[in-house]
Formats: sequence, structure tokens, C-alpha cells
Amino acid sequence: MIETLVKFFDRLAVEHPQWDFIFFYSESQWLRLLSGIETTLLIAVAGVFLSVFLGVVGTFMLRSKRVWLWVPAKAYVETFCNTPPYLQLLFFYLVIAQITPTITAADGWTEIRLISNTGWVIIALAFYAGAINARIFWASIESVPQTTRDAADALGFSVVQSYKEIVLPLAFRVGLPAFTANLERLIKTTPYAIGIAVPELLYECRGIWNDYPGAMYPSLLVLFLSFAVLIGLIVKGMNQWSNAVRIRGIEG
Amino acid sequence: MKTPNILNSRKTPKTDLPVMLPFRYLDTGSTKGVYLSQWLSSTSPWSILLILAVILAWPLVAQAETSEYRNALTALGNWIPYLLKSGFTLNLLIAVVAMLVGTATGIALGSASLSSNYYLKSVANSLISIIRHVPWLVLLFVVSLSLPFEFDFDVILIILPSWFKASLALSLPVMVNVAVIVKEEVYSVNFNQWETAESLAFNPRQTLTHIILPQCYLSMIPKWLNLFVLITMATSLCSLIGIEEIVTLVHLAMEVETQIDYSVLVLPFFGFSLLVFLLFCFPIAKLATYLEHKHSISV
Repeated sequence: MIETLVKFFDRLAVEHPQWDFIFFYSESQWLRLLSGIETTLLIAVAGVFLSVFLGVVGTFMLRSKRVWLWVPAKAYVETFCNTPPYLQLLFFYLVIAQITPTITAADGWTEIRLISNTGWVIIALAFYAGAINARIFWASIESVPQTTRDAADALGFSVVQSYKEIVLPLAFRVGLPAFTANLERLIKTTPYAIGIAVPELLYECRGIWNDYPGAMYPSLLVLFLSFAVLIGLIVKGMNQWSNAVRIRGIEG
Repeated sequence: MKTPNILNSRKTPKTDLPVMLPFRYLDTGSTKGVYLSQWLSSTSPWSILLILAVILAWPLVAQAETSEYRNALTALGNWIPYLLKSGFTLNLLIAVVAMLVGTATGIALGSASLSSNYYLKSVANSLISIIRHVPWLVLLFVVSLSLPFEFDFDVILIILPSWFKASLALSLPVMVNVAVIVKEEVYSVNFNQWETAESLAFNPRQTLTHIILPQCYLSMIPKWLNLFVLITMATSLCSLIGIEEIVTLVHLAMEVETQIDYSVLVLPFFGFSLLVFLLFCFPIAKLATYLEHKHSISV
């Protein structure tokens, strides 16, 4: 099966040089494409975990009554929601990365950064998506009315119990669609990493079509389809999930 | 917030018991990407002056020497007419063409996705969902690199300039977003009106053009303006594919000014391009938010 496909693409490249799907018959280019997809997925997955963590911490700080907790959280959320993500990426990479410590390599004079370019993209995207997550989580907890909490209090629930049994299950269902939109936004922002030369999917595709001019249309096609399929599947899955857990009649 | 109305509660099938407060986070779909314009319109004009003040006061906090900084500002002053005339004009041209093409095709696509013809509807819907899920930067690369730079018919030679290809690329996200806006707005009109119109012998097309759409125009305009702001800001991405718009020209100007240190030039030049975008988008964002508040139906 795979051999037939390889032969087909090999022949296609000979017959139509414009449609040179080089990564489907050349081992090295296939690995190159795969490594690009891998890096994009790595950025996305690590970014999601880190941004959810930042969102939860941010929400706790936003809900706190102590000024020294909620003021920094508010400042963080407002700043990162309202500036373009590409600018944030450049800020992290050009400003913060310059002042992080470096390790001297074995040869005695090469300096290696503690965090690689990929690491900085993950951090920048996580901070961007984390700010939006904090907003989403905060808004969904706020949408549970105080009377419901008072009722739980009157029934003898402790604070932890009322959060675990009443507030969080309701908030989760209300916030899930917005969280899906944020997830989509996070993955859509990953191509900006090309600006600081991170070997993700767009970067690798650009490399392939620069090296093999005949592979331009095929790599553009693969690039387009990979993003459409990846984000499409995730959004569809998340929407099904939010429909499955929905309780009719409670929203708004 | 819906207040429980005791008089109507028997008529409506809805129950008043499980009431949740409204989820105030508005940005739930990609059509409502209103962060930027909400923020823009909520900032006072003073913040723009503040940015100007930061640009002017920068040498006081940085190591940049004042005389060299003054030279940088003079250099910027010489460049401003060129940057505006051939740089930002191109940004506006790309944005306006993208909006025009995108709106026309988007209305057609939105109407197709509302059609009663199954095949037309599913083709339109899948087109919307595919293009919606692709990052704008990828669309920009795909469209502007895959279109030829000229169409050579025997009788006529049509040359596609690169800015036009970029605006065609940006018209794709405009198209799907406009289609989704049309669809959402038509769905937001009470469905009983379709049945009423049918009983008054309107055909579906007449119902759409005479009854449903006139109710939607006013609430579509703010969303459309938001989209315009987003597209104008996104035209700065075109510098990544080498179109000579303002960001590319700013880079160029900084390369040319070799007698001044690069680190001194960064803030005035990039700050200037940021200011130009903010000054252009600020009134539009204000207008969009004003219209949104004016025509929103308070529940």
C-alpha cells in the first residue's frame, strides 16, 4: 500500500514537475515534515497545559480580596489580552531571553541559552492564552449566582464542598465553549513562531519549498490541510464534549 | 439578566428555577474577535498622547544620548511623508480591497449556507469550517505564493501585483467571518417570522430580502467594522511575505540610517508605526462600540 503510494508520487514528480510531493517519497524530507508537525504539536500541547495552569493561578489571584494579589493579576490579564501576540513573542525573545543565564558548553567558549527558541514560543503563547484563560475561568465562576452558593451554605456544605459539588461543575459547563475558542486561537498563533526561527510546520514547509522549487504547491497544500484538519478535529471534539455535558435550561 | 416575570411564567414553557447569571465573557466565537476594538474604544485619547510622551521621553530612561536621539527623531521626521504616502496607503488599500472582495463573497457564501438545497448548503458550510480553522498567516502564504504573478491570455495580459494577492488572501478570512455573521444574524431573528411570511405568500427569497435582512443590517455593521479593524491590523503581517507596506519600509528606513545606532532608532520608528495604526483604528473602534450599544436589544 505505502510502496504503491510512494511509487505514485515518484512518478507524479517526473511527469508533472510542478507537483513534486518530495516528502512522500524522499525519506529525509518526510522526516523534516514530521519534525515540523511534531514541533507544532509540542508547542500546542505544552502551551495548553501551561496556559491552563496560568489561568487557574490567575483566577485565584483575581478572586482574592488582597490587593497585592488581584492587582498584579488584573494588570497581567489586561496587558496580555490587549496586545498583539506577535509583539509579546518578540518581547519575550528579544528582551527577556537576553537576561536569562547561559551555560558555557564543553568547548569552553560557546554559550548555550538555558531555554531554546521553542521554549520561548511555548512560554510566550502560554502567557497570552493563560491571560485569556484566566478571564474565561473567572467569568464562568462569576456566572454562578451568589444565591446558589448561599443555598449550599445553608445546606451545610463547606467552602471546598460547595466549590467541588456545585460551583465548579456549573462553571465548567458555562466556560467550555469559550475555552474551545481560546484553544483554537492558541494553535492558530503557533505559525508566528516563524518570526524567531522555530522549526515548526510553516518553517519546515518554507524550507522544503526553498530547497525544492517544484515542491512549492504540494507543501502549501499540505500546510493548509494539516492546519485545517488539526484545528477542525480539536474544535469538533471539544464542541461535542460541551454538548454532551450541557444541562438544558441553566444557561443565562 | 432575565428577571422572572410572574405574569408570563405560565405561558412560556421555560422554567424560572435554575437561573444562572449571564456569562459576561463575550468572545465565544471567532467572529466576535472584538478584543482589540473594545480595548481601543475603551482607551481614552490620552493613551495615544501617553505613547507619544514615552517616545519623546525615552532617552531619559535609556542609555541613549539625547543628541543622538534628537538625530533619530529628525531622521524619522524626514521619513514620515514617505512612510505614510507609500507605506500606510498600501496597508489601507490591502485592507479595503480585502473587505470589499470578502464582503461580497461572504454575503453570497452566507446566503448559500442558508439555502434549502442540501448540496449547496453542505458545500458552503464545509468551506466555512475549513477556511475558518486555518491561521491567517498560513492563508497569506498559501494564496500569495500559489497565485501566478500574471495571467497571459493571448489577447490580454493581466498582471497580479503582490499587494493584490495579499488582499485576496486576507479576503478569505473576511469572507468566512462575514458568512458566519450573516448566518448568525438570520438565525437570531425569531423563526416564527418565516412562518408568518409564508402564510402571507412570500417566497423564501422575498422573506429573506424584505423581512429578515432589514432587521439584521444594523446589528451587522458593528461586527463588520470590528472585522475591518482586525484586517487593518493584520495587514502588517504582509511584511513577512515581502510586500512594501509600512513595517517593511520602517525596516528599510532603519537600515538606511546607518550613522545612528540601531538601538536608538528602534523605539521612534516602531513606535511611529504603532501610533499610525492606533490613530487610524481608534475612531473606527469607537464608532463600532457606539453602534453596538445603540442597536443592542437589552434583555
